[in-house]
Amino acid sequence: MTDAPRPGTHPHHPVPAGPSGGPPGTGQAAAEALSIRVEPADGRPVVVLRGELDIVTAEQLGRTLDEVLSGDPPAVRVDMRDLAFMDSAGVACLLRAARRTAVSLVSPSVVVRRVIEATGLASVLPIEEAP
Amino acid sequence: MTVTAAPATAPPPEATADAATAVATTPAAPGPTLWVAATLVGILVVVAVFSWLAYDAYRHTEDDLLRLRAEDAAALFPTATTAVQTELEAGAEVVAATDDTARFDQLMADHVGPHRSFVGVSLWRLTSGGAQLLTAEGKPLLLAGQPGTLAAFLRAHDQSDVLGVSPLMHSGDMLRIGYAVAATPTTTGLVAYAEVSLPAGRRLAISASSPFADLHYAIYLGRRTDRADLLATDLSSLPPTVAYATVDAPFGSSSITLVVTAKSPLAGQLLLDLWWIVAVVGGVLAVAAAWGVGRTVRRRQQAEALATALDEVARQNRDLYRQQRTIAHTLQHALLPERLPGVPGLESAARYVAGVAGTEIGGDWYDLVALDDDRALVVVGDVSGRGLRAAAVMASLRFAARAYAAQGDDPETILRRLSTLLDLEQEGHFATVLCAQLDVGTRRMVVASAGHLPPLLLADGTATYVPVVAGLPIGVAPAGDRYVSASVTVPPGATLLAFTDGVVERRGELLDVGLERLRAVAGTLDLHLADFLAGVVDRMGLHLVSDDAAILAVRWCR
Repeated sequence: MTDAPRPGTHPHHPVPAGPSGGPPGTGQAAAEALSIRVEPADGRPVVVLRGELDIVTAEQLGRTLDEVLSGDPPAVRVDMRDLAFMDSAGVACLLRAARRTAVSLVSPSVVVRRVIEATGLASVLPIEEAP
Repeated sequence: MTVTAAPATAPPPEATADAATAVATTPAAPGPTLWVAATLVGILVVVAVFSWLAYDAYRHTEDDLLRLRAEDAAALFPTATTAVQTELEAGAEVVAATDDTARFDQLMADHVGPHRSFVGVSLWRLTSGGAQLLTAEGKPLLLAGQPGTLAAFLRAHDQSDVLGVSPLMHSGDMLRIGYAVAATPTTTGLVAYAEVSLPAGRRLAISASSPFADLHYAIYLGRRTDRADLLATDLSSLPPTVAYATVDAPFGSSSITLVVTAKSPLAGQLLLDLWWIVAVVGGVLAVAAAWGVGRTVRRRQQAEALATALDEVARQNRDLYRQQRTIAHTLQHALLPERLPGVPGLESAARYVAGVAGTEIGGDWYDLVALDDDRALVVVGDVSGRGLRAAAVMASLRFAARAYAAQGDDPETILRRLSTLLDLEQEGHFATVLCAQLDVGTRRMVVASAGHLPPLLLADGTATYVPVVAGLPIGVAPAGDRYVSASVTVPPGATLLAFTDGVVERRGELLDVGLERLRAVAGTLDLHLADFLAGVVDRMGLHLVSDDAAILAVRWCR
């Protein structure tokens, strides 16, 4: 599935797009924050994510999902339209929820969508488009 | 419900405690005592100067005023001599005009006697033989007892229109002064002579309106201040022990010298008191200022100590952070192969680059297992998340994979067996693993992936990703999963590059962009394997990336 991707994209000298490291708590908190909103909709809750889902913010999502799952919903939809980034810790968080109920990802950006595809998780975390 | 998660850090408690100790043990800077003393001394010197200036101004003013008052008082004496002279002159001249000495007696009657101008008066005619008494009234005249002296005195003044004043005369406790006035025209030779008595005890009766009212005085006849010439005084000691002014004034043919002191400050009590008021107020201000300076200096020192302590906390925080990073790196490297095993016909090199963010250990790993003389197994994996738990999962997966490989399992089997070993639900982590079995002689390669990014194959000047279908990551399927391997035969000299997502993934960037970047970078590097890998690490900017990155390169010898 992963032959040379996207011919025509010109390679450039890499510039890390992530936070530029340094000791924690140096003022990048706001930029990296994740905001989570839960919209209960007919017993099929929608968790709306905005920002970046990474090792730091995944814990917060984990707690939110635990709360949502405590209501034993038949399915949970995670709205990813405004999610800019997701790392493996975020994926782990969603995978754990997927063990307990059907979790689907709504309209993830191509960046996030590609991560799901590359890790072969599309079958576990199905992607659906927002109506 | 809106929840915002953000990285939060608090300084480790140990660091705070250490900083507190540091505050306590920081040697105190030189105390504020020096500042306080300097301020006190400085202001007191200024106060002393002003106080002295105030006193000096008082003294000068007082001296000037005393001199003016003395001159005022002295001005009384010429007036007094004029009155005496007029009275005596009138008596002498009426006789000169009428040649009737009774007229003299009549005229003088009002001026002679107790509490009048003179104690005794007389009229004399100077002749070539001496002085001839024409008439006398009142008490006997002291100078009349010494005819020679009297005649000389009268003769000395018979041609003058100035009142003749005799030296001070003593007789018992009587003190007298004699006055001589010649009648005009002087050719008549008539001279009036009178004596006045000075008050007993030399004390004058001073009225409240007199210029002498607020002065102590000593009046001398003549220009010297001899006790013998003292006419009157109310000073207990002479010369005075306090500031005094001395003036002289004409007194008929003689003069008087007046010495005065002030009974009370002439310039007013306030000017007298000003110097010590300045001193007291200035002293109080000096103490207050010194106290203020002391307090300011102390506060500043406290602030500086606090700033130093905060710097120390920050430094210790940095040290701690560095230390934790060092520990994480050490542990990481301990869990990775110390060196890659030699496999005949294969070159290999690997790099692990810790992310710049955070102090926790990552879950990336690489491994190369020599299966036999002709085959080797490449494993690259990435456990989700970070921390000791992730590292423990990584270690168990790494060594399990080695064990399965040693038992002869192929990549598909190894991944399937690993997938039963880890459960996301229990461990909280999942892992992506790439497994490739290389055959040196046949240059055949079997690759299987558990959710892992495909390896890059560099052969014959082209770079392509090995088309392997990624199965589920390890730990996702509770009962394990099945994997499908891809089989590729490579040309001699081909290089296989297996890596973790930290090599290509960048925030906000499509994964394919990173994959393409790696393909381009690796494709342009044609170097010895170790240099090649260093070039990849460098040009992919892995030392600047927040995530950990592991990369393993294997090259078939030509």
